[in-house]
Amino acid sequence: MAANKDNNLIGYDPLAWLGLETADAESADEQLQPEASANDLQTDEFGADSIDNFEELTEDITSIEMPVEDNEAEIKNNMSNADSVTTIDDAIDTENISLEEQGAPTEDELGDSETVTDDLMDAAHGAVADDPMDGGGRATHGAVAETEDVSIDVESIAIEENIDVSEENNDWVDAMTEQEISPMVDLGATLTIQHVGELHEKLKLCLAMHDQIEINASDVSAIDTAHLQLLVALKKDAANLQKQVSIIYPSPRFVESAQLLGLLDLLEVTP
Amino acid sequence: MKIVAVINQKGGVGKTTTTANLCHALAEAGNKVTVIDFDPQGQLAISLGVIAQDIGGIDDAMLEKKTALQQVIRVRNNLALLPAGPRLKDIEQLLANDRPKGLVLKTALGHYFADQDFVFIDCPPSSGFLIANALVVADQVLVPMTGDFLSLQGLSHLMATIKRFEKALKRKYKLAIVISRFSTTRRMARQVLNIVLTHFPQQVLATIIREASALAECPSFGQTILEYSPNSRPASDFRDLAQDFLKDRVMYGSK
Repeated sequence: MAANKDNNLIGYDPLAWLGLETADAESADEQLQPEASANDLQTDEFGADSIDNFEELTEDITSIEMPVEDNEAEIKNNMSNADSVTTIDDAIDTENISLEEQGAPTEDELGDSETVTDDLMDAAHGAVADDPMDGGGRATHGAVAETEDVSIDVESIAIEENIDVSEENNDWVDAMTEQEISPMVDLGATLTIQHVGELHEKLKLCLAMHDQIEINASDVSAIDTAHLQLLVALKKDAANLQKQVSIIYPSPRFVESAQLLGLLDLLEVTP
Repeated sequence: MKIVAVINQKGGVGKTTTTANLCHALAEAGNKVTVIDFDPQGQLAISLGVIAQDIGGIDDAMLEKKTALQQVIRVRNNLALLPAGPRLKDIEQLLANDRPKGLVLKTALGHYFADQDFVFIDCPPSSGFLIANALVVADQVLVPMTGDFLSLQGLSHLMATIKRFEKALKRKYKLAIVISRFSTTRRMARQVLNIVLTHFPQQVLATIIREASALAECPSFGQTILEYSPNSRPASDFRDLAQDFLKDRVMYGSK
């Protein structure tokens, strides 16, 4: 039987994001109007728009309750607090942009590199799949889950921007206190996008629990850009939280991949 | 009157079984219950003994061909059924373009069921138009789930959906989780339950519905477990579950 040494039959908790959401919801609740109900919906607001799927419908509902101007204002407000942004997810998105802006190698430039297996677009997709709203189910999600991920993009930004992982009383942290979260994370040998979700969850917990994290990259024989972006995001989050993340014993392949993307400095890895 | 949506986007978690038996147990306890078969497969109706395939139901009410009240079938004492109807599976395409798509069910139900204690909606195992309509009218969400990992994953997706609706509608759903098809001998099931309790410590109804062959057998006879095997353990489970539901009895104390 495949089970880990603790006899845990569940590899990760898909509901871990709920604690984060709860913390955020508490502040969001203050803005809610408790008396509001479905009756408040303006029936013609659903309008004649062709609704092909659930996502479009929910977008319609969202737009009814939150005018575009307010939505934009909220996002801008959240973005203005970017310095206090502390989630890995946010930093991933930031890195998706910054990698391109910094002139990171294109797919063609990467050529036949065996170590960098996914192009930047794949990695960006991986970052979307890392949305905590989906609880970490990553590459195995069905079509519905994937479309939900895309459709909630704006909301997830608004939610995640407000999350403070350093808050000691977060439920999701409490939920994991019984489990031993080691400050040292061992990276596996082959780090492909299929597994980035698991690492993402592990790093989030680790970052919440420890001030110093060591990531052992000695076994890495292949790593894709999704993983590299995750590590960059982790470094940035840790810096914001005044925590320290060190990548120790990087394997030659790890160094090579980081070098290809110009991430050696960001990851503080020396060849 | 309270409207309860029985939802889990994952299939095979016991939505229809829970709906049929819980509703019957509530009705047996003296509550007036109407249950809407909102799954185009129409299996709730079959579970309650309504096997005719071509009778209209909530589909015609949503298409405004008939009122919802006209479509109601009294299936047990205190228990009424609004069948799915053959057009429910195509309802989105059949609706006029100028109708507000999110409020179709709400409009169809109107105030016809104000005299009922509970209206249950047995939702299909999917995301989409029907689920959205159910969530718009629902006061409470009842989530059956089994003791396996994929059910946990499904719950994660469902919670994301529910939270989006809560945000859009500026309201909070009362959430209750029913552990169904539970195998007490499986360690995995216990671990899943522990995780659910960690995240929903006051929202898991106290009675676990254990896996039982009788629950799989009774729909073919058009009977609920309370009729098929009234003195059996699963019948007792559902009677207890009905009391949990009525009295907010949850695991880890009362709400």
